[in-house]
This record gives sequence, structure tokens and C-alpha cells, in this order.
Amino acid sequence: MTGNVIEVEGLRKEYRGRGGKRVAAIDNLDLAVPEAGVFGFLGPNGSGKTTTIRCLLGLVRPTRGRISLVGLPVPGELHHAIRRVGAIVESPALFPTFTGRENLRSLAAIDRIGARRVEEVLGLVGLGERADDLVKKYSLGMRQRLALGATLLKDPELLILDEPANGLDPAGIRQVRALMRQLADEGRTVFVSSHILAEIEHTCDRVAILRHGRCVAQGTVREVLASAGASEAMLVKIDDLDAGVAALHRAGFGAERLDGHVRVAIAPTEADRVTRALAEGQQWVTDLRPEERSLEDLFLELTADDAPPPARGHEEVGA
Amino acid sequence: MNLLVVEMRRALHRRVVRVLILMALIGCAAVGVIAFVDSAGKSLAELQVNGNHHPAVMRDWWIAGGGDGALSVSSFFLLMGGLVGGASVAGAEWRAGTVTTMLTWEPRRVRAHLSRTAACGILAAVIAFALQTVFLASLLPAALLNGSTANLDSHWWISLVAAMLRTSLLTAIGAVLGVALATLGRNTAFALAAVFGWIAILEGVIRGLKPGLARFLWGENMTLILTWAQLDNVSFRRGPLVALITIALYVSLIVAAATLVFRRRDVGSAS
Repeated sequence: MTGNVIEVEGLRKEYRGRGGKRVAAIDNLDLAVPEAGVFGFLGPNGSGKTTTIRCLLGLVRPTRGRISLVGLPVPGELHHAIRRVGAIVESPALFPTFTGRENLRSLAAIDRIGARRVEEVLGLVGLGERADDLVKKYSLGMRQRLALGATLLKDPELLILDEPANGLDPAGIRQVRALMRQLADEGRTVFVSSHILAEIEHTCDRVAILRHGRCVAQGTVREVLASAGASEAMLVKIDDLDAGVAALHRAGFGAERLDGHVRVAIAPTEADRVTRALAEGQQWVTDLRPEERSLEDLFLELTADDAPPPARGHEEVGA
Repeated sequence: MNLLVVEMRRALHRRVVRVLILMALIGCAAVGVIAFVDSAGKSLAELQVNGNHHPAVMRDWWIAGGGDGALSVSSFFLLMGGLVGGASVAGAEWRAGTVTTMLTWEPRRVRAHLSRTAACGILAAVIAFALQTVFLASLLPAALLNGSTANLDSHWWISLVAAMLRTSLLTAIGAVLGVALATLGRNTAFALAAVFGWIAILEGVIRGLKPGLARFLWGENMTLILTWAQLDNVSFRRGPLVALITIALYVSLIVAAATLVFRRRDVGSAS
């Protein structure tokens, strides 16, 4: 294996739209997911995340492109690869007239996985006490946890999770986040698609951002944020915000109040000019720092409809 | 083998399968009670007046060669039950999205589809045989207490069991057909509409306009298999074995088409 558990090259998937017109759900997508860690796969609705995941799992036939999963080509060797992969695609589809335990046992039987592992997994996802209830009586969150449990049955080295926090309450989300981190710390790879960006930012080691079926950024979270360039603004904390804004305007700076700070439109390298201007206006700085961009800011910027189209053959950041 | 067992367990857990079995059991009990009440206090001659068959007379349960008797009545319901059950099992998989779940465990689609088809066929045959046994058992009180158990030679018993096995086979064929059609249309309704549209409407039209083609129709061939004798009131001669081969060929073609489509078509939509 090359060190990448998922490799996608030039992946394209077309669907026939209205009037027979072909629409590309994924367009020339390159993706490399290294072994171990949590990899966030981000993109707005309709960006091609789930279609990509379906291609990885052989559920959808790509129009063209090359895919490998745990070092094996897909779809040719998928039946070998799938033994080492646990996956949830979209909403968890379980057998509603089975109990939670029967669901897991039924899936485990396909790969000759024993009852002890089923019990372990039920405990791991916190469903031990409700394991004998029918799944149709489960809440969405419980179904999501059971589906997560199903992915763990095989003790997989790669987990592919499509929006695993959907339908979970805050405690459930935290549990899933902790579980993903724990699995990654054990040396597994967790490939997770999500639109809850705060989750990704704090859980993932690496991310890829998708727009209109193309990858617009890829790398570690830090690399991706750095690739978008530093923010051209500083945040200043002073006692009298209005007086500070007035002083900065007199000195010719663009300044505004923002969340208990004054935001000054200036490069961080020119911070000394800001302190001088404020001092001249009898305003004393208690905190001065460059404005940080969150992953969410970057995500919205990169995936906005009026954002410039990504270059073909996108280069991975920091690769 | 594992997959086959898993598919059989899942099919048995389907509500529609359980409801169909329950309805059949209620039907058996009702027929048993009606046969008993109807035969109470009547002589054998009264039970068989005008050459009619009565379920209180065991010999009338199955009339070899003519395909008549109480057992033949149950065959129609079992065949329909097999079809509805098979179509519902496959259709429900698409509705619930569990096709995706299964394919993330067994991505070899041909294997997955054929396992499900075989599981439904085997289950349908076993259930059909068991239900026929229950049905005939429900008639026993009427036969033992009010009717007759005379003239039951070994030839008759063999003929009865063979008819039960053929009915089980036809039920299995119905289930396999239901699974294949529901897989093609990705829902239960498509399968049921296709079968009823074909057998009730198209075959009727063909029978009326082109009687010479009737030998190739499902209805005629299925009846031939069930009775295992030449049909009355038809213009053609056709052996039951040829009918069996014809039906096997039809079912194989439909299953092959369903398998091919299941193998090639994408599972899930763009998002």
C-alpha cells in the first residue's frame, strides 16, 4: 500500500438530467487519504460528497477515473477491500423489524463475525440496554449509533462515515466525535463527510473541500487555512471602542466595531501603525492580534456560488 | 451459504410474510370448520350428490389426473402468496434502503441478488408445503368424524404428496418471479402490476385472438404442471414436463434480466 487508504484520480460521474442532458456530479476529482487519522470530506449539499462515497463503495459506477480502497482497485477487488472497511452511506438503513442485536448479528453472520464482537460493539455505541428493542422503535440518534456500531463489527482499518452526526443530540455528537478520535488514535482511518464545520475543525487531522464535484482545497486543517492566505485585518481590544474607531478613522484606517473588538483593515505586519494611531488618540491597547479565519469562513468562501472555479488538476495543499 | 441463511432470516422477519402466513392459517381453520359443519349429519351419498367433491371425503382432497379437489383450491392462493411475498421482500429492501447496507457487506451484486432470490424461493416452497399440510390437517376432523377415509391406496397418497410438492414448486416460482420483477422495477407495486397485467389482461387477449399461442402462456403451463395431466377444453396437446421446462425457461430469463440490471444499475442518486 502507498500509505493512502483511499486514492481517487480523475474521478468523474455523470448523470442524465432532464431532457437527456448529462450532468456531472463529480468532475475530475483527485483525492488522497493517508493512513490513520480523521479525514474530513466537506462540501455543501449537492457538491458530490455522497456520490463520491457511493463510488468508493461500488454502489455507483463512475463515468471515468481510478479508485483504490485500502490499496485495492475498486470495483475489481472491492469484495476483498470491503472486509477491511466499515461504511455508513446517508441515513442509516437498518432492518426495521429486527432488534438492534439481531441487526448486528445478521450483518455479522455474513462475515462470520462472532456474537462476542456484537456485544462489544453494542456496548461501545451505548446500546447495550436497548439491544432487544425493534429498530423501528429507535430514535434517529439510536439508529445512527447502531449504524455506527455495524461499521465497527469488522474491526475495520478504514471507516467511511457519511454525515454520522445527523440526528444526534449534542451529547450524541460529542460521543461520536470522541469515538472518531479514539478510532483514529488506535491507528485507523476515519473518512467522514460532514457539513458541521466546527466538528470537522476540532476533530479532523486533514480535510478536503468539494464544490460542484471538484476538490477546491485539500490538506491538513492548518495547511488549508494557510493556503487561503492570511487575513488582511487586525483585531484590537481597547476600553472605549467608539473612541478607538474615531481615532483610527482620523489616522486614515478602515475600522469598525466587531464582537467587543475594533477590526482594522490592515496587514498584521503593520500593527505598529495601529498602536501609534490609537496612542495618539489616548486609547491604550490591551490586546492586538491578527484576525483568524475559521474553517467555516474558508468553507463558505470556497464554496460560494460566485467563488472562482477551481483550477483543473487541483494541487493538494501541503502534499 | 451464510448470505443465503441471512437472507432467509430477513425474509421471514418481513411483516408481509408473517401476515400472509397468518392469513393462510386463519383460512385453513375457517375451511376446516366450514367443512366440518357442512358435513355434519350427512351420509356419503349426500356429500357426493351429483358427483360433487366434498372435503369431508378424503379421497376428494386430490383427484389425480383432473387436478380437482380441495388441494387445488389452495394452490391458487399459495401461488399468489408466493408472488406477493417475494415481491414485497425485494420491494421493501429498496424502500427501506437496506440494499445499500447489504452491498457495503457483500458488494458482489450477482451473488447478493441470487442469494436473496434463492432464499425467497426456498422459503416459499417450505412454507407452501407446511401450509398445505396444515390445510389438509384442518379437514381431518370432518373426514374422520363426518365423512369418509375409504379407498386411500398408496397410489393416491403418492399422487397427493406429488401434487403438494408441485404446488410448493409453483409457489417458489411465484416468489422468485416476485423478487425478480420487484428488483427490475425497484418496488413491490411494479412487480404485482406486471404479473397481473400480463396474466389477467394480456394472456386473456392472446387466448381470445390467437388460441394457437395458448400453449406458450403462463396460465396454461402452470395448470399443466399442477395437474400433471393433459388439459381439457384446449386445442393443443402438451406434456407436463414440457410445461415445466417452458416455465423454468421463462423464470430463468426474467431472473437473468433482473440480475443483469441489478449488477449494472447505480444504487442511490446523485447528491
